[in-house]
Amino acid sequence: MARFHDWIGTWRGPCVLAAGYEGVIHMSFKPLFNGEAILIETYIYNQSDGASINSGVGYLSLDRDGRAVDTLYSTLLGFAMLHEQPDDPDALSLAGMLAGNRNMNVFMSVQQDVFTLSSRVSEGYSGVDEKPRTFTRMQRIGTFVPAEAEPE
Amino acid sequence: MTAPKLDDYRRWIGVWSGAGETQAGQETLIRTTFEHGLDGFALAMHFEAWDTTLTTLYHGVHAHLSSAPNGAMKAIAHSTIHGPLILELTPDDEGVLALAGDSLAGSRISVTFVEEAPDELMFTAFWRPPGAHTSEPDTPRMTCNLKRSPPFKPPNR
Repeated sequence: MARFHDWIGTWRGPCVLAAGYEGVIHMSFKPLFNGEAILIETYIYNQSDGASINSGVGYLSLDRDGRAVDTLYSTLLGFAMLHEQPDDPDALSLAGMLAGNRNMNVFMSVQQDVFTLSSRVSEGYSGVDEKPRTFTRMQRIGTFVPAEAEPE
Repeated sequence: MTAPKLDDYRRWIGVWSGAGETQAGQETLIRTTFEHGLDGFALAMHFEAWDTTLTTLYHGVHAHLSSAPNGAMKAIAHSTIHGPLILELTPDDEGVLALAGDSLAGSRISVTFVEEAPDELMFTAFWRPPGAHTSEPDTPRMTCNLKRSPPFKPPNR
């Protein structure tokens, strides 16, 4: 799990959803049980009025072979268990089945403190289609600290 | 039996604790919290079973219970013994939360909370390796009476 430790924290950025909406995505990654799993919470909302578009929660951990597994729940998509797919060592690609003969794949990578995420849901077992993907590049959120007041 | 809903369990939100026994027969101290999860779309549960000196975590589970767009209720979870899990909520009497499913290794897992009184939950759980018989009346299981744990109030305060 050490390769995901620099993901820990809170990230936010503009996103374009596969359905064509534009919104803001907010993700937090928190270690559980001495870091053997990471709790991932995701909120996507409309930037203009804050209305919720999609919310999700998941647990990222490893299977017995050391491959990443993500069990997730999304208010739009329901439940899924995604399994790691071969990809570059500094990226994580996951894929799995959703209810209704749909499959989902997710790509995540952090480089130079920018978190890139893209995901796609498609029908059937073939992951090859030209459907648009949800895409975001997020930045780490810091706590706002007001500038020191000027002496009078 | 009625189809359970998330709202049926929101009254359990809070901290619960008790002393019980693990499936292997060890004495254990258990602390469980239920809280709102995912902006209220889920019920989050954190479970820890420790040895009586609180130095060894026998079993830890973090879970979220929610309903799919088609209404099916399930829980996603991470268990320190079983790894990633998706457990199905099985219909049962009111005041019962019964979850069951298989781990990636093929073990059968069953978890049940029964509300025996307004501030008292009976917790039982067992797991079976692949190919083993499922539950029988004398099947070893983890059991614990959990009571709601209000914050400690020092005397003479």
